[in-house]
Amino acid sequence: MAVALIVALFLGLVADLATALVLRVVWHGGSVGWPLSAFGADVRLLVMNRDRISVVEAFGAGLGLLGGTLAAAAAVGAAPGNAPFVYLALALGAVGGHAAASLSDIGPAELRAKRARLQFAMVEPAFALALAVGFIRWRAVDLEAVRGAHDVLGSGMEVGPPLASIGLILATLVGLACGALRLAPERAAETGTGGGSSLLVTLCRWSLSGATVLVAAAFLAGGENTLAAGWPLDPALLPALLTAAVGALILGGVRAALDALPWSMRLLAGWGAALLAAVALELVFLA
Amino acid sequence: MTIPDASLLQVAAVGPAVAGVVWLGLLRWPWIRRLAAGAVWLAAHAAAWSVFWRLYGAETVGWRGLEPGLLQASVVPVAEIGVLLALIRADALRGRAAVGAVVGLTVSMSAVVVGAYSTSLVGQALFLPVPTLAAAAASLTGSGWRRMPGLGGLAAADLVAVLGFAVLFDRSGSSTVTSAGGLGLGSALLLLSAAAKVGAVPGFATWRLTASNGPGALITAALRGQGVALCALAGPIVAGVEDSIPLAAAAVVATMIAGGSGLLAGRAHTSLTAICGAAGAVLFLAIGLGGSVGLRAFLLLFPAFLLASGVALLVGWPGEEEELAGRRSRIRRWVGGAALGVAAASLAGLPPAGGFPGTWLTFDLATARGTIEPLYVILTGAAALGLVAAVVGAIPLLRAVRPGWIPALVGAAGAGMLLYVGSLPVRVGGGWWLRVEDGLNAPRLLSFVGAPSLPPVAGKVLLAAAMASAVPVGLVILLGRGFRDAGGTFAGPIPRRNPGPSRGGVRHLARKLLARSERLYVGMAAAMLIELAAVWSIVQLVIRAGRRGFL
Repeated sequence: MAVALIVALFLGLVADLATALVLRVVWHGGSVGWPLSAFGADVRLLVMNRDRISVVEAFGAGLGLLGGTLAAAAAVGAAPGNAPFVYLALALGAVGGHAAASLSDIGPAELRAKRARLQFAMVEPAFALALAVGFIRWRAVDLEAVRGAHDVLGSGMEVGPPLASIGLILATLVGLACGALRLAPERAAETGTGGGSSLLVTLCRWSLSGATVLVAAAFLAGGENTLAAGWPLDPALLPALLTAAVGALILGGVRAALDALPWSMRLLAGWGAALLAAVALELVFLA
Repeated sequence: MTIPDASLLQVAAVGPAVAGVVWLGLLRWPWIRRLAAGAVWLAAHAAAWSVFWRLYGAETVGWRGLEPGLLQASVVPVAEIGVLLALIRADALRGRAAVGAVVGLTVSMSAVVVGAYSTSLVGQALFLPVPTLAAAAASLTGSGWRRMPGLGGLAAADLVAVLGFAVLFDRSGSSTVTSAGGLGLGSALLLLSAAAKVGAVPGFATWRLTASNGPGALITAALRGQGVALCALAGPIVAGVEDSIPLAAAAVVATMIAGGSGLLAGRAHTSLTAICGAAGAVLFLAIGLGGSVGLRAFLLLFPAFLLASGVALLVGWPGEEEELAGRRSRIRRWVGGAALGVAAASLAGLPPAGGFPGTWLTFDLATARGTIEPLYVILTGAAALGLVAAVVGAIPLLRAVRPGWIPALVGAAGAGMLLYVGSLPVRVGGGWWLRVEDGLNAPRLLSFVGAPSLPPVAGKVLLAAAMASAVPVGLVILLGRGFRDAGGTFAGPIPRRNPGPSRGGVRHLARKLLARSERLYVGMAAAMLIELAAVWSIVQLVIRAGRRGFL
């Protein structure tokens, strides 16, 4: 479980670095290493200034990390991967993160948290639909069965019919885009909102990003149903982990692009994602 | 020494009301009234548990028209715990409001007990309007403008339920509760009434009452108990375990609307109402899915629902107080916030809280049904979304809680119970489900092992995940050397602009008409008329039953 959480956090960091990179390259904004420097600044504020967390933040972050851990573990096979369980864990991860980010007396940060909550609720139908498409494509209600199908048939991107593969890839991309819109907002962006609270929200965001890409990778590249103790180093899991890393880059890039949009457009993007998820569902059914 | 059935049932049924009378008689001495009334309440509660244990041990308990089955006897003690939590909150109210809420709650609970224990349709109908009338009376004891929110809906729910009893009486030709072997008109009407009483019908009856400021909102604890008892009667007992897509679809629509209301909530009351309403609708989804698994999901859901809504009401209901940040001690707010968080997670079916196993089983069953009928998959997704939206809407509540010492500590104990029920559902209720299912002649589940079919998540998996996620949080707490205080007022989940002054148009006219009608008591008069119609229908039912030998 702890290893699954560490892998998810690492993938979440990769996603944040991708966001920073895209923002730097396309919009010439900020430094490429801001996720790491903001993390360091938060730790410094926490230790030196005793910029502590509140109980609600601790509770929310605990739930958020629990959801992220369970989803990540389910994606790699360290926990049961039933469809409802995976969805509930991902929902818990998002809800916990938003609860942790909900406390702020600094106006802009509070507004950002509120907007992020609404964004999360608006994009949730599309995310749930995209997740459902992944399961329906493999005619399974369990990630274990999905991984088993990969073992027998091969990679999800190659197994025919082509319409089903296209539907699955589309659903995965929609899931990643929705995953970017479900995240709790970063707190360190506003002056005076860093420290322990920001640190926990960052950890929640990373764990949820990581868990989302791991679940997406399980649909596209499968994985192993029997895990060794040092499973991240297992060569058999390499394709799934590489796919997850690519997914993290996509999620980060999409997040940067969405951040550049006005807030109302991001809400519309959520509905657009729902439409695309419906198209993916149709493709999978047609196949 | 064995207590006679008659004494046991009498104490269980009348005890809550007697506790209210004792409380009222000792009104001038706060601690004496709490101790004395508490002792009477506990005696009644012990009697209710005693009835439950006797039935659990395959004995029969009966006295005149009161001869409960195990399911009905199970609803009573759990509902009493929910009402007790509301009573603790009610006792903290000031002046007449406390009197209205406490007396209303205790009298309502007695009526709920008699209704639940009664094997006669007429007996059930006779005690049906009591909680509604208690809610109306309690609402009138509040300060400010005399309003009775939700009374019209509650009166209509009473009328619908009496009609349901009348239909069942006519079709079976007997005043005794009997199985109809399917969801007919009578049980459908009863389920509709139960949904309104549970608070699962958005903007109607208990929903509106919960969203109000006045002391009447606390009576909703008893109304939820009554709703669950009616649901158990109309669903598994009368209609059996057949599935019903319309019922499941209606429940899902209610969940979605409740979720939307939670997101749009601008007040703590509305947010609380939405999360309770969404959870209440899931009960009906489980009944609508039918089968033994649906019944078991209902059995898993209703105790957690009653307990969690009681904790939420105790800790999260702000009442008529002004919302001032930081008025209470930090520790009380922390403990209260954690308790409310667990209650909200339980209502939304999130792990590891009490509502999780039942919600899981419901969604698992719907997904399994979805392999044959794809509509169920859509229903599952929609219901999950409604619950997620409702719990997102409840997030700002955590910051705004300001309970006193006793509510905070009792709420924390309730939250602990919810976590225990959610973590070890099989240990808590394994034998009970099987006995209830046997009693209702439901098809057996996993008869070769006799164990319930629960999701394959081992406790050690949850524990390992919880420990892994607790490490970073613990590190941050250690590095910061404690917590900071972050109390505040309720700020809804959606950013809103301040509404400007109304300058005419349809909305302005509607508001004016509403205000005028309130001053003329039009709504109250209409509600009383509907309640009068319900009482008249009960009298008619009694007369017709009398002609067939009921009396």
